Amino acid sequence: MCLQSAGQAVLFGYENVRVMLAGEPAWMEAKYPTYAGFGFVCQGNRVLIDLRSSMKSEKSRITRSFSIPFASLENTIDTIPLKASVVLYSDNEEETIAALQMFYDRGYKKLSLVEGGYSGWRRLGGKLDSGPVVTDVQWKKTLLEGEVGLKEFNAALKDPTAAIILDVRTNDEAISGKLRQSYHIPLDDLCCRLDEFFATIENMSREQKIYIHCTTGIRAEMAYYELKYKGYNPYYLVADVKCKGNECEIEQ
Amino acid sequence: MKKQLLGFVFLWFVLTLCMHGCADIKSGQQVAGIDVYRGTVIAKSNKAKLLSLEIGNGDKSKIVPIRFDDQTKGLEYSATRYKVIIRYEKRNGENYALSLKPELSQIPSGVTVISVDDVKVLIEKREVFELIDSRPAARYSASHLPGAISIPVPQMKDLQGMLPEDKDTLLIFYCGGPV
Repeated sequence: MCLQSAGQAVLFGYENVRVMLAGEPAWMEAKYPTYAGFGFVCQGNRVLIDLRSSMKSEKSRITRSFSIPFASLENTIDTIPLKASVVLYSDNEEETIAALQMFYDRGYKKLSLVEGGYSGWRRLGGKLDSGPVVTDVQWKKTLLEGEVGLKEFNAALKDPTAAIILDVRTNDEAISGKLRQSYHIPLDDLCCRLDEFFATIENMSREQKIYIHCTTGIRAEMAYYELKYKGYNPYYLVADVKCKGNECEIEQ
Repeated sequence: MKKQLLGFVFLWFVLTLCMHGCADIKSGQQVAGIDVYRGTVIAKSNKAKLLSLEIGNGDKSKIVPIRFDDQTKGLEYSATRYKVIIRYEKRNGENYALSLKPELSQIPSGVTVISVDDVKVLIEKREVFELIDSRPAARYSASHLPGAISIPVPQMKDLQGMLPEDKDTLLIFYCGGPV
């Protein structure tokens, strides 16, 4: 999809346009650092970890952060849920990078850093807490706006009146396997073939719930924005979906 | 006049030799076992230096393993779910990728591909360029590459003003994978 944006930039007149095709997942796979945005650090559903000493943390820390000093990370890392979005910060860059590698090596996939660490956050005027530190990491998966839970998605597979299942993978992918209950239209065709496509579905209406899936959730999310924009009632599934014949393995 | 004719004869002789020679090289390549696969990258392991490529459609599709090494060219095109053309040769009964190319239709003209490692080098050298995250804004907020700005695909036209004024500036786009 970023190819579309890159093509657009060429049309705007840019002479030197490139695409990092492998994308953010490959960047993470290479275990390189990424940063969390201000809003996500402040309000997101994340596990924010202060790697500084508990004394410093007690005095002043980024809001809603857990205190796990770098020296004790090795022993406590397993108490942090593997599927959580983990955001790290410290006032020591070397320790931050070492901690990040430790998380990567343990199989954590959603990792990022606070840009500039503790002082970077202060410079931005970010919210701070003080007082006794919190060491017991608590985290619960919450659905993002527009996301459908796996339970509801599976319920709709059994009861077609609950929602329409929409598969937005490519034609090639759908040919090699697809959910029996799903309707298929490639993400690239949503722009121009959507109304004609929905006209073929019985009882289709603007209010009808639509659960969208792809192979990971990324294209489903993009399709969600497009359908929402066009006035439909979509939800997207964030899950790994692998299909063969009429059956798909769905894993979160 | 005679000299010219002689020249022609000589040229003809050289051309024939060359064509014959070229034909020989071609068959030589086949003997060495260089061949081409077209398919979709299903998985890539940097540790095992192995690609899984799906070739063919539907019931006839199958997955072939292809090894790569430091000499393999075009590994930046080896992103999962991406369609590629791979030149490979057989070594000890295993396929080794010599070079990867993308199926052309996917890349708009005027756009070239850059690898993850090359982007890392540009960031570390503090080169002047604009890195653009094309994913939805919520994804950007959860985690983005150092120095990247957020322009989601549907907002490209509205947020054109965020791009640098100088049209010669290097722009690098990325999203959540090749699709």
